[in-house]
Amino acid sequence: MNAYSLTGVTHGYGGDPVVRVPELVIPSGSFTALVGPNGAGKSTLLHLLALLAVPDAGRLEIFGQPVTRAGIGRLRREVSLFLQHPYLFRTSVARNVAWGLDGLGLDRRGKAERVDQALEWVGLSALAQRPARTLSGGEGQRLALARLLARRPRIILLDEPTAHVDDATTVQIEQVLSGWVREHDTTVVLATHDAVQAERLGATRLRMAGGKVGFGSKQGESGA
Amino acid sequence: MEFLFASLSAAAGLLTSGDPEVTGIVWTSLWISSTATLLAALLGVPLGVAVAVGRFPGRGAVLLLLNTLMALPTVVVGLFVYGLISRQGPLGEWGLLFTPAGVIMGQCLLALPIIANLTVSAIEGLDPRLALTCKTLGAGLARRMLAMLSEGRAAVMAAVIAGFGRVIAEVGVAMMLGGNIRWYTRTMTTAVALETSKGEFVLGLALGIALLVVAFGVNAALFALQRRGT
Repeated sequence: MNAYSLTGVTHGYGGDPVVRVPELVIPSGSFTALVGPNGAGKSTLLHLLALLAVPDAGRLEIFGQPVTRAGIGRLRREVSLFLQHPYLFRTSVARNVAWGLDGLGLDRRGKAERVDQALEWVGLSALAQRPARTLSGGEGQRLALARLLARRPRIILLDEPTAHVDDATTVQIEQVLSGWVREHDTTVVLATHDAVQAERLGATRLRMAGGKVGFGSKQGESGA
Repeated sequence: MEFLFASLSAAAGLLTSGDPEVTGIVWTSLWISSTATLLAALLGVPLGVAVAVGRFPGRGAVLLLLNTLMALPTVVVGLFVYGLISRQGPLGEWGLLFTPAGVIMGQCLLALPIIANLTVSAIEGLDPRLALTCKTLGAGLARRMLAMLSEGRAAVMAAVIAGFGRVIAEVGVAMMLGGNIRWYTRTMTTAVALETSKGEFVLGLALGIALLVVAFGVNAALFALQRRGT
């Protein structure tokens, strides 16, 4: 089964389309990297894939279901997007993680277990009770990642998750992602300007430029 | 000047003596205005969040109306509610005129646009990434609105403080709808107006000082709450 299927999709913000995708299929359980420079349309495409918007034209399907304005809210629960600049709620680290778990049908104990586990994955267990706004930039990124992973969505979208962090945090985030992909049947789409990072993570790379996708290069090739 | 100091001294004595009439007036003012503010907050805060988040036809008109209503003179609100609750009015059967409930109704209408409008500003001033983050975490509209309310709680609290400030200090609504009835609907502001017009300057001044102290105390408490929330 395909996680995503896009046909003739265009999307923009009023003027010319920022993204044009004649044909794109992302198989379920795959790890795909959209590699391209700033302004290539990676974030806009990720926002479409995160169902934060419906395409201006064309057909977008998620797990075989067409995305329409009416059903977008229900389908969005399958997807979680890591924003380039994540917002942290004005509460504790643990509560930030727990926030994303409401509406998943978990009881209090189930939620607590997920929070503990997610914080352990990203190495923030010791800071669980700290106000989230007092974390460093790198810790904040890891918290946002924990919040996303705790939901265990079927699709994870990551928008430049290491663009604004130091090398040590980059390594930590990449380790968490690699471990997650090994252990879970999750579809991951990563937007990055760093082709080497995509290669390190073993992702299938799709190059993006000028809003177009399709300069495909398979895993292991250095086409980006 | 000597007269002012003597009056101030006498007023302070009246306040500290625990005079039952002064205490009763202060208490009446406090509970009426607090109830009116609470009701206005219960209606105005959700309304403000809905207007801030919603994109619906006529939204601009609603914002314009809220802005206009913020500047409503208290006597106009008093007149409008008087028309509703006087014996010939549509709500005349309820017997609300010249009762604390009538004043509460009027003050609630007075505070509502202030609280709603400032809540709109509070929510619109939030970091735009908040709504996006909520969506990416699968939150529907209701949860997003609750999250916005929670994240903007300090500014929303300021909106409620502003609403309380408006009603505790107003005189038009309390006079027109309460009738300034002794031991019943007499508030600090109506009492100040009455006592001064009767030449009872000391009592008027004492109540004026009490009004300032109460306004300061309530604002200080709410301000402390607001600071704790940030």
